[in-house]
Amino acid sequence: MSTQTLTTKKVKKQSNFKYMISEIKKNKVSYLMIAPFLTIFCLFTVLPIISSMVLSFTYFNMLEFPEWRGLYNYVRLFLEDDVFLIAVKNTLVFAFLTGPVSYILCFVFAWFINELTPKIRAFMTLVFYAPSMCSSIYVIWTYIFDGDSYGLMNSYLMKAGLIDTPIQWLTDVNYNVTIIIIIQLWLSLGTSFLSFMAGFKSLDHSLCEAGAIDGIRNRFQELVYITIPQMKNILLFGAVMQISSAFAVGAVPMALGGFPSTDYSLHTVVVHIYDYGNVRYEMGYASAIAFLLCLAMIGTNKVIQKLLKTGD
Amino acid sequence: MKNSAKKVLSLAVAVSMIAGLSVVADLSVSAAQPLEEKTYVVLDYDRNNNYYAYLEANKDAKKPQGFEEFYPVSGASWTVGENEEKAAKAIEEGKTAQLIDYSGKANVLHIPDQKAYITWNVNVPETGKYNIFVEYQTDENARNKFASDILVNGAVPFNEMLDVSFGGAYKDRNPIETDSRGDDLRPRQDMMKVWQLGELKDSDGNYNGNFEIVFDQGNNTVTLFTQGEPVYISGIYVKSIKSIPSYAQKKAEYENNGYKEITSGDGIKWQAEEVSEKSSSAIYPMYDKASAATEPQSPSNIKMNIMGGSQWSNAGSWIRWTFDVPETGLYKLNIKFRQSAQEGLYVSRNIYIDEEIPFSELEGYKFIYNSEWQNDVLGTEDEDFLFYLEEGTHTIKMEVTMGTMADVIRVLNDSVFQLNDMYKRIILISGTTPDQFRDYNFPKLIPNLLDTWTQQADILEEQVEIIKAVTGSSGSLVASISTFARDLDALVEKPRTISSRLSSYNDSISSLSSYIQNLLNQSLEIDYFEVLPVNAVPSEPSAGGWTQFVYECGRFINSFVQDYSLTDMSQVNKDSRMVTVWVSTGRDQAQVLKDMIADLFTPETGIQVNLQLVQGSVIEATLAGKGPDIALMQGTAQPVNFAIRGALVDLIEMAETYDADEGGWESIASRFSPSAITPFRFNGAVYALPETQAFDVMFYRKDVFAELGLTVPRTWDEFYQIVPVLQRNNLKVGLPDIGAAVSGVVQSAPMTQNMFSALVFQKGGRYYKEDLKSTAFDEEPAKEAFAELVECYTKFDFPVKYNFYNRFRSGEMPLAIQAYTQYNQLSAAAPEIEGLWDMAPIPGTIVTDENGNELIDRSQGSVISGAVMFEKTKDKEAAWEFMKWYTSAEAQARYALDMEAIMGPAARQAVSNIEAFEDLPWTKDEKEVLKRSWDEVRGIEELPGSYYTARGIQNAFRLSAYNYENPYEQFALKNKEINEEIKRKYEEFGLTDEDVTK
Repeated sequence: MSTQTLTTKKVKKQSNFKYMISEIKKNKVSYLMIAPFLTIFCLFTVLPIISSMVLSFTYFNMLEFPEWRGLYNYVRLFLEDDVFLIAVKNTLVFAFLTGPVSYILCFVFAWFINELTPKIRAFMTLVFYAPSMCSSIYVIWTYIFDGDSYGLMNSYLMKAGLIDTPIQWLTDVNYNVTIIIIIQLWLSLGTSFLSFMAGFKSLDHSLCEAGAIDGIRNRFQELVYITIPQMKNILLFGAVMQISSAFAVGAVPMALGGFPSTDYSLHTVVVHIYDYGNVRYEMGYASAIAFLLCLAMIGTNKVIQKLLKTGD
Repeated sequence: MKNSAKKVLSLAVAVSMIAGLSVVADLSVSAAQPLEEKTYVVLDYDRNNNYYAYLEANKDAKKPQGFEEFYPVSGASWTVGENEEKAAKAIEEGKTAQLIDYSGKANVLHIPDQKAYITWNVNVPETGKYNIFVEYQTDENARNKFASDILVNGAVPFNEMLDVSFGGAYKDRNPIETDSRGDDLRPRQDMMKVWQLGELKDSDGNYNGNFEIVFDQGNNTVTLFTQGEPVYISGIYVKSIKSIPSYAQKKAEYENNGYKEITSGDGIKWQAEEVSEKSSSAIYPMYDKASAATEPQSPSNIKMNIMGGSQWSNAGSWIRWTFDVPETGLYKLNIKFRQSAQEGLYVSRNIYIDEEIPFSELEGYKFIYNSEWQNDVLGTEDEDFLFYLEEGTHTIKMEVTMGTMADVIRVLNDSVFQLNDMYKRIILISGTTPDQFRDYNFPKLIPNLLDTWTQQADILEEQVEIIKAVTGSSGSLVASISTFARDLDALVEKPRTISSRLSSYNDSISSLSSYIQNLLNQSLEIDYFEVLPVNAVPSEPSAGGWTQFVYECGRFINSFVQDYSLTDMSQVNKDSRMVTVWVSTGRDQAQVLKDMIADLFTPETGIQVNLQLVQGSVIEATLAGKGPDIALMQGTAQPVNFAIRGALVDLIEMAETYDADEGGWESIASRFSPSAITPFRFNGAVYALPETQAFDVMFYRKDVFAELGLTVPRTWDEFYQIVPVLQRNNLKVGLPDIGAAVSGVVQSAPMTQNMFSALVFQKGGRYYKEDLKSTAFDEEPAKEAFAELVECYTKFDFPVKYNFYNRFRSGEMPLAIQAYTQYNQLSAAAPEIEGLWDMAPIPGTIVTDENGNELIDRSQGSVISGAVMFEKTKDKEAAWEFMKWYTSAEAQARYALDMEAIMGPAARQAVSNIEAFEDLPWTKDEKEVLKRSWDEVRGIEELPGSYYTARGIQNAFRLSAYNYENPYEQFALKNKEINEEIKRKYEEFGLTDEDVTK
């Protein structure tokens, strides 16, 4: 590519724009092929991000025309909004606890399951992937952690004599964060796990044989020296997915812990956006939060990519 | 006996505690009411005094024949009102009962809205059993069945004579009509003004046939004690009990009289949906789209083609059809029906020809189960029954009866009661989760425990055998009863295992009681009737494979082109005025609303309504310019929230502009309790008209209260006094859910926090200060209220989260404060505790007025929904016209009654229109409790940012109640947050410096 650019520059002093047009014409079939995706992507992803960026500098209450406010929303976000800081803290807690932990768990489980016989493997894959197939399956946890004395966990503990009054698992600040983290972990064992499974299957087994000849002594060495290097791209994909989903935690705490959760103990950035956008109708402010979250996600992904790339 | 309690069951022994409350003048607290007398709940109700025992006791009494006598009401003596004071008041108001000429009869007694005793002297020639019938006509103002206690010789002979109900008769107002799209419309129902001959029978279906009452030779008295529904009574009949001949006897009679069998011609056929009369407005034509053979049928349109179904399933409800016979002779009768309600069982009907059951085989005639349509030529396996019909018009009436299952149901119901009673006694000792490692020695503490269980195990086994014998099948449900019986035996053998098996014991009782509920469902659908010559073959009940296939294909293709929207816009005249209305409820509700608009609103005003069923936020749609003119059923906090952003129209202005001649805003506002408008009022404007308003009442179990000798608490002091008594007995007390609302968004303070509002108001507090710019939570009353609320959970340990319906039924929670709409669920779906519970206003606080009289203040908040009009509405006058009509008493009552007709009494609406509330079928006593509570409901204002109030209270509550933080500190802290948010919102809308009024 770069050599081609150089030669073109030498041959004709064409302007960049004209050159681009001619290149597009040359590759029009390729452009035609990505057109459907690109249109939809622009319409439903790029455009909203841009409009939310613009709105983040305004006051917009959904009913009246937006009003320009400059950086006011951002100033307020960082200097006045205590709840936002709680939300950032909670999001980071969720992201750091569920993100890497579930990433490692996914990898370990995938590795273990890959060793099983095909039939059991298929079954176990289903078991691990099932929670993410049915998106609102997590409501079964409300049954387990019901605050009623006949709730599953409460009645079990009361029968065992460990507690004598029911615990409000999902609204008591002493318990709800831990419970949501466990549920979030359980839920997040989905996509990455599946992609790791695929990764393990596409391994080149001749390399393992070569490794065995070259002196690999156990499965762990094989994992570190042969398997992981081969799976670099899959690992990167998994990491990006995991980080994005960790930052986007919001639906589960809201559905299980209620909105607003007790003393904002489960208030994540996404919940905060919901709060300002759908309850207080301050779209400008909500847009500012959303835009920051978007930046944070992109930034973290960049860092992850760097980390994994330098790792090899 | 469904709705109302068995009155004598809990004779309220009134002990006058505080006397001299007759002068009520100039109250210091506006809403407070005089303190009522203390009621001790006493159960002097003997369950064993039932009709079964009465029949057993009078087994040998004769049934004298040939006696029939009418006793007109003019010859009876009658007094009005439960007591002299009330009677005097009724006479003063000119609303007393009197003899009038009515509907073709002279000297009938008209009883308006009040209770009355009417006593007849009855003279019979011979001691023995007789039937009593009451001739009456339901008043058009009546909303309930006319109910009455019946006394013979001054006493109630058996419990089933309490609250005997007599229904009206209904008919379709018009034949079935079709709309512009060709779909059949459900006909409107009218109550018929005809004299009815009311039979005395058990409305729960535990006994078949009319009650047989024993009279002594000579003088006897019969007394009706009516329960307050308006009614006309002309008199009573006392008749000999007729015995119905068997078919064999009837056949012999046919032969003796030489009746000829009709052997030629096509016979007569008529569609079941063409009904002449029925016992309830809820029994209306339905449609079946499943079978191609149902007549009439169409793959593309809705055709009302069948009759009956789930609304025709309660004992005593009946339908009557009329048909013409061309030639005198003997015919057979075919009914095309579908019985898919009782799998493996049958449903029963009494079949009357010309108002008489022709032979005993038609008493409790059985219709067997099949999920498909089937024919039943009435008869036995060996022969078809023949009916002698003379040329001319005849009627056939089918009445729901429990048939041979009646005894089973009665016995099982009694078992559930006995077993539940044992459960209650056990938990009084050990609580619901007994310590498994402790031997409580229950058999010693509850002397009759093991005997009762042994006895009940035998009874259950016996009933299982009966069910098997009658139905010839043993389904899984029957098996579960035998398992339960075996479990009981096991418990008797090893009483030490009671503690570990208590919860499964309780589950078994619940499943037994739901099995009984299931048996009571006698629903049956009928497509058509055929009166056939004796040798004719009835038409095929199901379509052939090919016809059905073509029909299904037609339906499938039609599903692509059918217009599912509620309003047929192609038929709407483009020039006519139009209002777009959004509803966010279920399809049934929207359909009812649509029918109402078509019936009442559009014809009268000429305004077309485009009704849209939309789930989702109105706000986004309004932003996109796709929003409606009017949105219905908006939550308490929404209207002001939208209005401060300039989205809504001020309705006071609307009223003053368009209705100045009719009294303007005042006349509209007078439809509602002022408390219902408060949350929609801001800065001198009102942004919504209320639709529903729900508040709390207190539910209590009479049996538990009587056993523990408790009084119904009137004040919080009394309430807190009995809490320890209940808790010592391992029983729980329920307060309305405050901190446990897990799913759903808490947006408005009163939503889940009615208990808090009640405490704040009753302590003389308020939510917001006069300037409406900050909360009044820094004032003492609010702080105390909050601390008291927290103490309920920290000190008294009330359960935060619980299933009220289940725990109230099992008796585990005999006292709870809940939204009054719970009443409907309990009365519709908890038959085993019928008559064992009641509702009362919530506890109050004693206040003293200027004259030193003690009054009780029962203020509380409420949950309200309302209808709003958007600012960008083009034709505001038309939209206002619609809102006015929709919130009128007529429309609201019709909506509520129609909903109840379709979805049953559990779906009764909490209407906010006061006049419409009066029209709902609450009994007189229920209405009294509700009105009393409603009068003291107070409105809570909504302000910019007031959504934060609910949050603040909830957070402070959870932190103090679960984690034992200092409630005062937490409350102050969260109050600060609330005020900051309110201040911020005021700034946002530039209202900080302006004066804000209500």
